[in-house]
Amino acid sequence: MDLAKRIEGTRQFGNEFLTWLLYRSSVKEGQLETALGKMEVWFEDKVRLVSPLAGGEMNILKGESPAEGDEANVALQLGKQLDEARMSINFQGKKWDFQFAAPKFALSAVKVPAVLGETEAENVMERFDLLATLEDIMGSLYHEFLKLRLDDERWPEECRLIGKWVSR
Amino acid sequence: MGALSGRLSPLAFKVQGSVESWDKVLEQLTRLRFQEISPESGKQQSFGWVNLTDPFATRFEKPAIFFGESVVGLSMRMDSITIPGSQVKLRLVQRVRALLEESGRENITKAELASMKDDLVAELSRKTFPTIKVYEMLYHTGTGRLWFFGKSKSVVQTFFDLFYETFSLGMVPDSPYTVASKLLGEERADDLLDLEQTVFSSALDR
Repeated sequence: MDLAKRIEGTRQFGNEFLTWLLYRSSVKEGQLETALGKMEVWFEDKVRLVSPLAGGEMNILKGESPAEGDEANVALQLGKQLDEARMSINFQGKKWDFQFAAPKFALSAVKVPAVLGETEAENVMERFDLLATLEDIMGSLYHEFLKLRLDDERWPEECRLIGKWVSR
Repeated sequence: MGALSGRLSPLAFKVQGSVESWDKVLEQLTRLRFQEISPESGKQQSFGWVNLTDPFATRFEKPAIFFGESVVGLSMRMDSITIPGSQVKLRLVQRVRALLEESGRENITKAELASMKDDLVAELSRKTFPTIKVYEMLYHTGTGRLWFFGKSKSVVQTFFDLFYETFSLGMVPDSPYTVASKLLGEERADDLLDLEQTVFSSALDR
C-alpha cells in the first residue's frame, strides 16, 4: 500500500486520540504524565466533534470549557469524536496555547511561551525550539495512546472506562 | 502566523533525505530567487526565495540562511497582480464602443475583441502594484523537521515544487500515520491499518 493510502486510511486515529486525551484530561483533572514527564493538559474554549458514522455530522461548541459540558457529553454519547480543539499545555513551568486538528495531526494558532532572545536570530531559534517542544509533548501523549490502542488486552478495558465516562 | 512573531500556524513536514551539497543549494537559491514582475513581461505572478527576515533581500550565503548550526530559515515571496474581471469587462465595452464609433463599423471580430482584451489587461497590469505575500519556512537539517507557514493548497504546492527544485529533496506531511511511524516504526504503525474504528459510546453498543 502506498504512503498516501496509509495516511488517508488512518486519519480516524487522530480523532480517537483527541477523544481519549479529553477523557484522560477530564478524569485526571488535567494532570498527565508521559515519558517526557508530568504535564497539565487542558481543553479550552472551542471544540469540534464529528460523527464517524453519520456522514460527518458535526457540533462546534464554544464557551467556557465546552468539552466538559452537557452538549459535548451528548455528542459523545451519540458516537461523535473530537476532531479539533483549542487546548493549553503546561510543561516544566512553560505554557503553550494552541489549536489541534486531529485528522491532520496539525497544530495552529500556537502561542509559545515568552521568548527571551536578544537578536532576531536568537528569537527564531528560540521559537523553533519552543514549537518543537510542543510537538514533542503532543508526540509523547500520542505515543501513550498508541501503546494502548495497539494492545489487544488493554484497549478494550480502556474503551469500557471511556464508555462509562461518556455515559456519566 | 509566522516564524518571526505572533502565533504560529505551521504546516509540518518531514524532509526525506539530507542535503548533499550546500554549495549547490546556495546556487539554486540564487537562481530561484524572487524577481520583481517586469511591467513589460505581461506576467501577473512571480515567486521565489527571499531572506527570512527581509522580503526584499535575495543574498543567499550560509550565514544569511542558517539560524544556529542546524536551522535553515527562508521565505517564499509571491507577488501577484489581480485585475478584477468586472473592471476589464466595463473598460472593454467602453473601448469597443469608441472603436465602432470611430470606424463607423457595426461590429468587431472575435479576434479583434480578444486582442483588445489582452492589450487592456496588459495596460491595467502596468498600472497596478502587485500584492506581496511572504510565506516563511524553517527547516532543521539535523532532524529533517520542516515547517511552512502558508495554508492554501496552491501556495503549498508552489512551495513544495520550489523546495524540491532547490534542495532536491521531497517531504511528507504530518498525519496520524506518519507521526505514529516516527514514534513506533513503520512496521508497527502499519498495524493501525488493520484496526477497526473505535466507537466509545456505550450507548451505541446496546
